[in-house]
Amino acid sequence: VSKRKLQPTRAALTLTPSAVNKIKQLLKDKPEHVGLKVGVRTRGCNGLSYSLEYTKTKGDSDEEVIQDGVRVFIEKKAQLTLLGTEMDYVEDKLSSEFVFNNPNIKGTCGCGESFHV
Amino acid sequence: LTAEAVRAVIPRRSGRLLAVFPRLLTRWETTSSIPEAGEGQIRLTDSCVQRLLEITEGSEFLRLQVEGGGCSGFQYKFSLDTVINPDDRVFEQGGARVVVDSDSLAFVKGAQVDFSQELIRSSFQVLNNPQAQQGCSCGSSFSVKV
Repeated sequence: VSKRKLQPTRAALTLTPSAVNKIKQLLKDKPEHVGLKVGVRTRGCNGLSYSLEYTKTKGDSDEEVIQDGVRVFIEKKAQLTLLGTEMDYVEDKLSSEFVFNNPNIKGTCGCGESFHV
Repeated sequence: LTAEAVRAVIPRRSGRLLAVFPRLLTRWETTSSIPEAGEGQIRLTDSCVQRLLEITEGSEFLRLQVEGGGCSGFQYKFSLDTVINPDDRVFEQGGARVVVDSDSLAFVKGAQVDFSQELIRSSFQVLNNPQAQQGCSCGSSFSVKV
């Protein structure tokens, strides 16, 4: 197992192994899509909330993250808030979801979906 | 009695809400109209039934509770359970069961339980709750009509 290289600056977004595996599984059935796109929208009680969708192309202003063979694109307006974030995938019987562990967040609502920076 | 006043009184993250404030239920119940037969029920959507049949084992069922907390004052809590208590109500559809204790039922009667699947999250949700005045946009917290 090779060590992760140290980087002088934060990566835009890092993926946990479970997030990588889930994305691979999702894209396996959708060969026309090259990856997932992370966006941020104004909603929820703390102002901002992530959105996630399939994408066929890289947008002009998207930032691209390639890790372990999967691609995640970050919309321009999400890039600043996502800087340094770890994207995880958490699953149990009752629910399963992508979780963004974001060091920039100053507060979230009780369920964790909505946040402000 | 406004929703804000209720939120100020009820502590966040408490356990069984009405065990601490037993008279709150009485007040709300006396102000509501006499419910029709359908109004006291909880309905399960097809996707909820399907998901429950997938994940439950043996005598397991989905338990829905309402507790204090969340950004709108109250929030829904789902868990898997096997024990039915004397004050529980059982709602069955297509072989799937959702159980609600009588305290929580006052806050969700007439609502639908759904299993919502989106790319970012799949989870059980309460939809179309006639007892809820408003909720946060993720759907897990709500405030009560007063």
